[in-house]
Amino acid sequence: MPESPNNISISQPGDPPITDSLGNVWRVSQSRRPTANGEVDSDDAEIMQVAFVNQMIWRQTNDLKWWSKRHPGDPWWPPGGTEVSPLNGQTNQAIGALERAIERVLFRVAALQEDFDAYKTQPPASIAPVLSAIARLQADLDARGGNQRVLIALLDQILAGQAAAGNTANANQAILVRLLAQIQAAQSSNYATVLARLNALLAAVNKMTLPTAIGLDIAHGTHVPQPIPSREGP
Amino acid sequence: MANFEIPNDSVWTFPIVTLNAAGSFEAVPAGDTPTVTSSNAASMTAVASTAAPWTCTVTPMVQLSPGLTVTVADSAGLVSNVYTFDIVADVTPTNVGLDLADGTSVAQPVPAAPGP
Repeated sequence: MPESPNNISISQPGDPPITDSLGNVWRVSQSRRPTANGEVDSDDAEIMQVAFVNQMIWRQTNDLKWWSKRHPGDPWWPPGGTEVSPLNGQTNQAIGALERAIERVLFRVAALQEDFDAYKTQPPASIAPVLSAIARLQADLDARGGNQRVLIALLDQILAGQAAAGNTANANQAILVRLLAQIQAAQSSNYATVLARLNALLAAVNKMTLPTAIGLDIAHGTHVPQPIPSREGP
Repeated sequence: MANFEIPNDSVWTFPIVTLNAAGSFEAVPAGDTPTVTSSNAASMTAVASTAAPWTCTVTPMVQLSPGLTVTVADSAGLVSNVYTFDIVADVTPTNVGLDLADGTSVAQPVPAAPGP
């Protein structure tokens, strides 16, 4: 197979494989491990994507670190990974992965809402991680100039519930609006789809307003018997 | 809101809920703690359970007492609400029988059978 173009990445098992300079064929396995010529990589780390940049194979692990190697049998380098992405600009694969990640976030937010609707007084999961992750997403985009892969990673963190709590709903809604504007400004042909997905996410988050009052749910009170008190009254 | 009547022979437990401006239930803010206060603890106690789900347990301490209140508030500063309770006698029927003193009668022919 011919060598793949420079600066290309794959993130899903069904994505077209990458052929490196030595003819090795790289894919993403169903368990999200890189495979070379059908063999799963000896380092068992789960990955977000595999990239081919300047004749090196790169992997991005779930902690957002990047690692490279030239031969399938080589160790990944550097030992601790690097946070600097080797990729230049956006790729269609990355946008596709972004759309899938947002789909999963929408599903997650919808599930939270349904749980909350069902249980009312005490939802089984807090929306705070969702809101906090959106805030971190914007901060990271601000810091890195809109790195879509960071966006994917942060959305995945939302899914995993790993984001810390601590932001208010209104602040995060404003953050998400800014994020939408930022993505729109990038003017890629795929951004319209991304924008629609994020707008749907925004609508879902907007449904999750914060409480303003506290009280009793009188209609759902329950009781148990007790002996009649001995005192008659005041 | 109408007063809530509590029979003096029962202990009541109510869910403590947080609501938005539209009156719909919302998730409890992170780190929030509820408090409940009875207007007269000698006549009716009110105790909050802060384990999820939050509840308020109201116990009558006297046989009759109208107009007692429970104030529900929290550490996050949400708008509190006050609920009024009347402690009443339990008038729920528990037995069935005849009211012999208030019986009425109509005439009939004397029966033909002399006895059992």
